[in-house]
Amino acid sequence: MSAAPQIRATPFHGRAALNNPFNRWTARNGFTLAQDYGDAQAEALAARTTVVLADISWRWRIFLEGARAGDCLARLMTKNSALLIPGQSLKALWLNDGGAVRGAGVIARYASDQFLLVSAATDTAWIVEAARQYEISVRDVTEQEGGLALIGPHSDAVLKATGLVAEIPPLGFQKLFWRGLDVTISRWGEQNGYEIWCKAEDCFALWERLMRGGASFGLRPAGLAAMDILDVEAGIPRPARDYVPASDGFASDPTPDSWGLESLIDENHASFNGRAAWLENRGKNKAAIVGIEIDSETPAPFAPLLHQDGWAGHTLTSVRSPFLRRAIALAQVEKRLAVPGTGFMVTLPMSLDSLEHRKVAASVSDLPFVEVPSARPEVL
Amino acid sequence: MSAYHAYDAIVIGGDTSGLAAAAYLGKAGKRVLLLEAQDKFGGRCGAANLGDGFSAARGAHTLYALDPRVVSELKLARRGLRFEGRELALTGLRGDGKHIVIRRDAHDTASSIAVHSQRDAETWPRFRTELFDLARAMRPLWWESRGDLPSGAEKQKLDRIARMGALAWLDSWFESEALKATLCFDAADGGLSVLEPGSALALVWRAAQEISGLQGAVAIPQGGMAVLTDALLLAAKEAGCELRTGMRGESLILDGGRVAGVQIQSGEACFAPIVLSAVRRLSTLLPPAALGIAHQRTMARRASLLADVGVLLTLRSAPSFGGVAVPLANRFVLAEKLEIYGSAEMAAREGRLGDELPISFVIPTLSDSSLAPPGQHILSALVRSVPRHPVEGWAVLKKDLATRVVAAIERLAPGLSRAISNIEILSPDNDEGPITVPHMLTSGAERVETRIAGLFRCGANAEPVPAISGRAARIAAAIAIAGQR
Repeated sequence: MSAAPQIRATPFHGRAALNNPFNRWTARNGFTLAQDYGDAQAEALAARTTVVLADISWRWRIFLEGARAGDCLARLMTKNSALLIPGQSLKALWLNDGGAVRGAGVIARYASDQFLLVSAATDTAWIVEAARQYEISVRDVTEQEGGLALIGPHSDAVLKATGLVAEIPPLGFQKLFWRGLDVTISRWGEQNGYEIWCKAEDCFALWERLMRGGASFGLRPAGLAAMDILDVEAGIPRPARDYVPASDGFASDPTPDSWGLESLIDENHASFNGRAAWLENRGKNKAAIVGIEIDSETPAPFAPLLHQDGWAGHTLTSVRSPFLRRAIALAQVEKRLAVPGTGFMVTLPMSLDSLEHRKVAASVSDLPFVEVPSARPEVL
Repeated sequence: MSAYHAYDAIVIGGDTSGLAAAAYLGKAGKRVLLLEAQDKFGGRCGAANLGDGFSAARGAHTLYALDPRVVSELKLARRGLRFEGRELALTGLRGDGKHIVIRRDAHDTASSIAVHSQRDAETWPRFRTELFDLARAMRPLWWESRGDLPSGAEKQKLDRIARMGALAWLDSWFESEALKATLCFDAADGGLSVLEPGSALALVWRAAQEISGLQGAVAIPQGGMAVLTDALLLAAKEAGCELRTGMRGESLILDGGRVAGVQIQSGEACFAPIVLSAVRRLSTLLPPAALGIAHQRTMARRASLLADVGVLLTLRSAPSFGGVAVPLANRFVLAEKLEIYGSAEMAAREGRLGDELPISFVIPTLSDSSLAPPGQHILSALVRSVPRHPVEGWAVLKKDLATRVVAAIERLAPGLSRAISNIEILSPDNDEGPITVPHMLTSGAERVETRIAGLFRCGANAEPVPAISGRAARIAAAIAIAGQR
């Protein structure tokens, strides 16, 4: 097996570099990405108040094609993608034989025998094995295509200003020919925005067009740090970032329940892989996913949570929310403590404010922290 | 055209296991349908016309694992099953004429071994006692639905042996290559290598069997293997089962995680909440990945490269072996050196036939003359370590194999080739991958149950080591009747 390059650039890397004044980079799913374009807090706030553009080319995207692609996905995913009509999508998990979460993502039906899988974490081994058993082909387009997310209340207006007009319901998508570019526009994200996908060689043109069209709406690029803030505000745990998906075919951890992912399972879908094991283990785990508001502005990622001087869980991704003006975190805590208002103590890392560890109060909050505002029509 | 039929249970595959399962279910008052793809029941145990007045099964000709409770509960003796040769000795044939004859009688065996090694002759009775004791301690696990592993001293012995290859285990007892090479043949069962863990356990499994009241015996049924099929067929018929031939199951009908019936190739659909499968191709009856994506991947990785192949020779006269006189109504092993197990296996993994092959054979017509015209004989051989995917293709391999088998036996029985009237090479069974130690150490219930509720395995591959036994059928039927899943 040839070694994959350690660091891959997305097709937007050149534009991201031009806009990255402090040269701050980070990595996700094997791709190098701008951590921020100067100020992550401002970028996250802009996503709530105006509109931002984010590079999402790092997401794993594969086409599953063949006569039995529908059967394969019906077996693979926890919701029945055989019921989708072309142009529709769903969000679901894929479980291993032991009922543990191996991945989570969007399934979009392009044609009767063609589906796209989009996920935050790559799981080639599993999907390719399933495809082999159903004799269908898998085509990875992660590096052949790029994508930008347009998030914020003005996203509709920006699209209109650039001449990209499409009526797309949530979870819908459409292929369009847009002034010389073949693009796919979708609404798969949780932030009520749009994603626009195109071939790698067209990516600079896409970036330029959107930035020009959005200039009068205050459109600015947002880095991965801002996107993580939006995710945490919306209360969404992600594979590979917040939890380690099962890499074994028979392991029983992590269960969907322990990561608050049961909403991505359709109980009436009777034939998905791992269903029997999932039902058997259901409700047996002792942890739950909650949101934690921290009595500080300093985030405390992956820190222990103490309840009555005893260990009671730990935080996951933690950020300062510019919208709430305080630190928040996703956390995994004992089920009995997963009640809004339950108090914990959390240790903050050293920061400029305080050169030693500090213990501060934190409490369970309802999820999501921030109701995602719906995109509103142009108000000018 | 499709038709709708509803039953309490459907059994796929009308070989001995399928017939036994159907008989048990029928006896318990279930409405049972048994589907057999061929136009005759019995599979490899069914009567077949080999031409020129020869009539014998195209398969094995001995029984060693048939469950005595199946024999009594299904009243097989009353239905015609008798054993002719009840206790075939195991004879290791040698070019120098110093054949090793392993009999039930420890003294006789020891004196045969003493020709090769006095020390081994003295060790033999202890080895045999330890083997048979451990084997009996394993019976609850291997014979019952939810039997336990042995405890105490036997457990310690098991832990050691389960991790050993047969060769290493025999090495720890004996010094004589002739003896070890003879005993190794039975250890190489089910695609196992004698160097791999599991092969020592396969020897213990053999010793745990019982036929006509004798532990670890090998017997020949009177009237051929077809008698067993006929007896089981009668039992299934009298139990009220509907038995149909020429009905090939195309696929299983599933309803969520449950089995709902069987789709027949002709277009008919038969429905039942319980399906027992005696066929080896169970996974081909299911939609891809129905048993689990990871499970299926494991199965694919385990695909076996080696096969055991049966060879049937019809002879115009009985062969005679030089050297120490041995009774012909024996089970013979042709494997003088230990290294041939390794070299044959290595060649097979490369898709070739080894220069020398481990061969075992019986001459069932010496015990039961009804199978052949007067004075003529059948020699039924089993060859280990034949490549499953020969590089030159099966047609070439078959010719080559026939030549090698005849040459190998003729070396010890001069004039054999002149007596041969026909040679038939049987195709190997479908591949289910080599057996594993975990499989051999799981309880009967776990071996017959599948991940699909209502669907059970009841054939040879649900046994710890594949064999004609009926034990898996008995266990699967009992679980299905009790409605535990």
